[in-house]
Amino acid sequence: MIEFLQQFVNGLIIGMTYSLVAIGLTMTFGLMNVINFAHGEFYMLGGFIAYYVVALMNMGFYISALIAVLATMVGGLITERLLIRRLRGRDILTTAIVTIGLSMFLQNTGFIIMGPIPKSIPSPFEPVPIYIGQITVAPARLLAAAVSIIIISFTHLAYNYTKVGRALKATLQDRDAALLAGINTNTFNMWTFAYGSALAAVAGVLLGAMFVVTPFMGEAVIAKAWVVVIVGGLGNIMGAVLGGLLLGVAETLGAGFISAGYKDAIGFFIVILVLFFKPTGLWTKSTS
Amino acid sequence: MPAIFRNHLGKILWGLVFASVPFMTRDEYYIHLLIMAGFYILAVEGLNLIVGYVGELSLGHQAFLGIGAYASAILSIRFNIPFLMSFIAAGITGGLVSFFLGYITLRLRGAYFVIVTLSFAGIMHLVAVNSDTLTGGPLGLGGIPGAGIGIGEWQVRFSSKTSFYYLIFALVLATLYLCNRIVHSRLGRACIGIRENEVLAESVGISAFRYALLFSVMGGILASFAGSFYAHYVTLVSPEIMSFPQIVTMLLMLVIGGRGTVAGPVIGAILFTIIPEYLRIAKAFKWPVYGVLLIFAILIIPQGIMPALRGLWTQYGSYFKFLKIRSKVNAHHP
Repeated sequence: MIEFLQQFVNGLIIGMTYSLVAIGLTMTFGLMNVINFAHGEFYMLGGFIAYYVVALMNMGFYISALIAVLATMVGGLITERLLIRRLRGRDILTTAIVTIGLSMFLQNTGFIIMGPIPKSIPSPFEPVPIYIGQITVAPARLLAAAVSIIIISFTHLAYNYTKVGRALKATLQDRDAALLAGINTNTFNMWTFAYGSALAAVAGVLLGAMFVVTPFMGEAVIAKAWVVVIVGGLGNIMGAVLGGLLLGVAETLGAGFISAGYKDAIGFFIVILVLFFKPTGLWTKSTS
Repeated sequence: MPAIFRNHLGKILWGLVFASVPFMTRDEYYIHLLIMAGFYILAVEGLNLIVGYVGELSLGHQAFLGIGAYASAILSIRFNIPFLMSFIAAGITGGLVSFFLGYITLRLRGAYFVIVTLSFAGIMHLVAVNSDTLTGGPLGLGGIPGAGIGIGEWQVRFSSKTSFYYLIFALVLATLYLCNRIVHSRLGRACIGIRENEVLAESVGISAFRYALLFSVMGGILASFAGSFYAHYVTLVSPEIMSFPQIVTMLLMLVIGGRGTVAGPVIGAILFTIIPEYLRIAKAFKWPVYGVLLIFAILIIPQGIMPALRGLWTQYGSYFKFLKIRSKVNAHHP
């Protein structure tokens, strides 16, 4: 029972970081109808930049994390302005191919810079686990959980209760009507894209402090984030959050109790089941 | 000149050029490059059926290379099945898997199709890495017997590079012939109809689902054949064959060559097998360059080289009227 609870908590924490990555993806898809394969690279950039700022400039962990997130956000802004906006109105196939190109470029340029050896962001914590009842949690994981909860709550509140959030919601529902109501959808696209990239970067920093940073770390996460997006319903932000938690828990329990080698396959089976029984996403109310 | 020769003059000339390559060079390295190009032509023509004609982006096509290669390898190593049989069995396996995958995914297309095919390939890669007893794990399966066709005493062994070259040459010719027939038939026109306007196509009684399924099964079979050929040619299969860079390579060949044309994948496959070999010095930069190429190809020549050339021909072709080459007006590009 304790082992089950332990795995469950670990899964929840990993799941929160999946949610962070998936929020950006699902917003980008909902707003711009773009399957952004380069999103995993923003996640990678978060960890990557944080590592280099810590290692080369000897800054503290929190400062370098902030620098990494802001830098990735700027990267997101530039990507939207120079690339994604040019492809407005093109089909999913075209935009997917372009973002795959961007992803290949960023990954392998990262590889040229970093080389084949995985790096670890020096953690600001002592490697002593914290006990909560009989469950142990590493400090880095606790930090990841806290940051994720804060960001997810912030996103939730901003999305539902601020003017900007409601305008975003309106744009997601009906782009043309939103334009008519005087919402500048171009600006929205750009800042949503940048916000999504920043969230991915946060996840990258948090996981980089937990595990290691490699130029190819985005590849594994992007596939999972897409699973989360489908499970939550394409374009559904809170659906993505719940989907992330579900996938994190399912994976950790699956790896612990079924087979560690096939851990990454669990998401695929969840997707197949969801597509079979409720393709609009698990938490979407039927619109009919 | 009989009309049939005149109408297909270009194709026949190109065929002769490629058929005579082994007589022009003794360097086995060039022959090897062209064999690999042939392998990619098979695979990319298959991908083209799905991406170019059905209009759905499959990111799981590399899995069929792997399925074909592993099926062939396992059958010929474990069960001593001759080349021709394992080749056909690989195609059937790929076709069946592609049928089941398409049956689940093609009802929901667009983003769903992209993601499910991607994770399908991910799973296949995991299976290849993890099930040591069946696939040999990360190291793969080695010692696959080479190719040979024949019964009893009458055997043709494909032992030299040149013989493999003619084997893949024949396979490529057959593939191009079949693809040409398919896309210029009712089937191909129906598929283009679906790609251009699905609602309209459905309203005149074309079932988008069935045509899409048929085309993706054919695509899967072609890729499995390619994989099977690869297994017998290289005599070693490892999970690398279905890694993600493989599909990026194929997409690059398809997008730059020209999707929705039969000749496009041929141009793309030859270009991107030969060019990288000359960029050896900059090997580390291969993938970043590929990424940038993919982006700029879509931005600058979104239809690819082949339709761009065709556009030039319709614009300036009248200067070459004295050659009396009939240019086919082809409206098949996406």
